[in-house]
Formats: sequence, C-alpha cells, structure tokens
Amino acid sequence: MEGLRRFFSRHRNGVVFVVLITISTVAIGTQSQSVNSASKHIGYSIFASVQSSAAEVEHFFSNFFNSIGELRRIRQEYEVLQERVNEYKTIERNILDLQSENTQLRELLDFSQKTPFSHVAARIIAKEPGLLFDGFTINRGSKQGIAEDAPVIAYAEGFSSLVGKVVEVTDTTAKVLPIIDRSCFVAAKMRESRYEGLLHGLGAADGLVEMTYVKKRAKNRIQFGDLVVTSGFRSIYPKDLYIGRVDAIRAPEWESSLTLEIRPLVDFTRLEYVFILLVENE
Amino acid sequence: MRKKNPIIYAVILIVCALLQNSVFTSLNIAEIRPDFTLLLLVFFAHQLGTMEGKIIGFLAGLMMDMLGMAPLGFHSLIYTVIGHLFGLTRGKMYVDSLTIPVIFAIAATLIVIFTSFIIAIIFLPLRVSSVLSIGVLIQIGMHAVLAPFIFALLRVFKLCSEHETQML
Repeated sequence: MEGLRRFFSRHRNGVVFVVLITISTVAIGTQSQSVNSASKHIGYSIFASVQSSAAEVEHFFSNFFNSIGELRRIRQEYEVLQERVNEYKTIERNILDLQSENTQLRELLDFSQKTPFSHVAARIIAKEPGLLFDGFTINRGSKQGIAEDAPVIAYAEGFSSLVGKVVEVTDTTAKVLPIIDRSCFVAAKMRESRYEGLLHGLGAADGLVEMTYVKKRAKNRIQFGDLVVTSGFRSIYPKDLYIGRVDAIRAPEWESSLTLEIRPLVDFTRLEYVFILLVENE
Repeated sequence: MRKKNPIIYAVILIVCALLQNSVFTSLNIAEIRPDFTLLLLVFFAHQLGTMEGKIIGFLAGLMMDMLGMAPLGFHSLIYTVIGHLFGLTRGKMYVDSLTIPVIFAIAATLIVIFTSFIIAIIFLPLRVSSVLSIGVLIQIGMHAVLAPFIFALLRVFKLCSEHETQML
C-alpha cells in the first residue's frame, strides 16, 4: 500500500494522464454506437439550458447590432429613394408639361385644320420686356411667306381671335404688334348689332382694347359680353375675326359716340402659339 | 515563475466550450468553424503546465461532448492529449507575438486531426473520411490566422505572457 502511494506521488502526472485517457476511451468505446446515452443525456440536460440561454443572449445582441446596421442601411436606402422620388417628381412635371403642351397643340392643329385662311403656324420666341411697348417675336419669317401687315390670329375660347399684325419681318423671324398696343388700330364691329367702330389698345398693363366712334344710338343694343369682330372694311384684317367681348360701356354726354372697353379673347399673358394669315396669297 | 490560478483558466475554457456551438456559429468559412476552445487550451496549457493543462482540457472536452453530437469522451480524450502535450512546453519556449502562436495553432490542429483519425479508425469507422476532408486544411488556415490575435487578446487580459521562459 505504501509502495502504491509512493508510486502515485512519484508518477502523479502520468497516472492522471492515463486515468483521463482511459475514462475518455472507455466512454467512447461504450457510446460510439449510439449518439444518445444516459450519461451524456444527464450532462446534456444540465448544460443545454445554459447553452440555450447563451444562445438567446447572443441572439439578442446579434439582433441589436443587426438593427443598427439595418438602420444605417435603411437610411441609405431612404436617401437613395428620396433622390429617386425627386427624379420622378421632375419626370412627372415634365409629363404634365408635355400633356398640357400636347393638348394645346392638338387644339391648335384642330383649329389650323378648320380655319378657312391660308396660314403659317408660329411660336412666340421673344416678348417685349418693357411696359411702354407691347409686342413679341415669332419664329417664322419671310422664308415662310410672311410679309409685313399680315394679320396674326390665335385660337381662343373656340374662336379665331385676332392677335395683331406683323410689323417687321426677317428671313426667319417676325415682329408682331398686338391689338393691345396703343399704336394698333383695327376696324371693328359688334357681331350681333353690326355697329362699327375703331379699336385700339390700352397697353399690356390693362390688357384691354378700346372701341371708339360707336354710334350713340347703339347704346341700347349693346350688352356686356357682346362679341366684337373685325369689320374687314378697308382693312388689312379679314372680315369677322373675333377680337373680344364688351367689358364696359361709356357714353359721356359731351361726346357724340360711345366708347366701349373690350376684353380680348386672347390672353396675351399666356399666348404661346399664333397663326399668321397669308392674306395676299388668297 | 509565478503560478497561475488554474480555476480561472478552467472556467474560461469551459465557458468557451459552452458558447462555441451557440454563440460563435456565425464565424465560419464554408461552414468550417474555428475551434476557439482548442486555441485557448493550447495557450492555457502552455501557461499552466501538463497537469493543469490536461485537466482543464479534459473538462472542456467533456463539456463539448455533452453539448455536441460527438460521443462522450471524444473531445475529452483529444483535449487531454493537447493539454498534456502543450503543457510540456511551459517554461521551455519563448512565445513571441506571431510565429510561435501560429506554430502552436497548426501543431495543435494537426494533433487533433491525427488523434481524431485514430479514434475514428478504432471507434467510428464511418467517420474516417470526414476527418480527412478539405475542411481540415481550411480549419488549419483559420487557426493559423486567429492564433496571434487570440494570443494578443489573452496578453491584454494578462492571461498569457510571452516571457514565460525557464532557464534549463
């Protein structure tokens, strides 16, 4: 017994090693045929809950850090999507503009096909910037058959409405004097009552034209909203082109004629396309 | 040379064995996972010596056997051998920051493979081919890469030092 104790104390390291290896080997030998064994199951039962808790904790922290990453990713996606939304908004605006332009051009095409006059369609490319003068430039000139004094009309409220006349022409452009300019005079008449007068502009600030020299006896036969058209009498403008509607009637006692304020059918502030009539070719 | 408290090392190693299959599962390359318990055991055995090395190895292996699919005794036998062999290096080698940890890791992995192969031939003949798979090479590479970092981490927590040399 004493010898055995001395042997153990002398070879403690080796004995422990052999014992541990033996235990392991026996364990493997007895359990290698089966994954489940009673001894392993006991150990597993004890430590599985610890392992499960550890996994839960890991899952929590993993989710937490994943959430941070997710938040960063979502923010990046949000910024990308925001940019895309802005792009789409721009596209939407462009589409709306195109739709509006398309509708407008369709109306103009329809008008162009229906109007009895030979004409050239033109787009306004420049407008007079100041308040003293009113006028605009179109993108058609003598190359397209446009001459000075050619009447200019536009499609407004379903009518061929008078815009003005061409006052200056180059090969590719022309200047148009609108009827609202103070230096523009047009022979006009009431469409229903047929009373005649002389029409001139009051400037772009008012956007109105004034019809003078209308006989006083016409006062009872003229109503607000009555249409005014071109008379065609010794004029560069064809007969019965629509000009505007009566907006006000003035009949001073000291004058022998009426003065009518006419609101043009054409909205000059929004005018984009016009037609130049080729009257001389008619 | 100052004696380390083996209980601390044992607890760390057992906790690592406990967490290895649940927490560190996401650290893998082609489903091959590094054996952190093995790497820790190598350095701990080197710090503690053969007796403590093989005992903590046995306990950690037992934990892994109970929680894993391996038969009871499989890891405990292998880690006992590892703990014993690397415990023999205590005080006999200067562990630098890079080379020796890498050599330790590669040597330990090769010993594990060899021991597993022997055990598989004797007790688990169906698994012999699994021991000799390409995954072994990946694991050797992973251990070689991770070993310096783990050693550096252990030094930070004063669980390992590189000056544990013994004048023979």
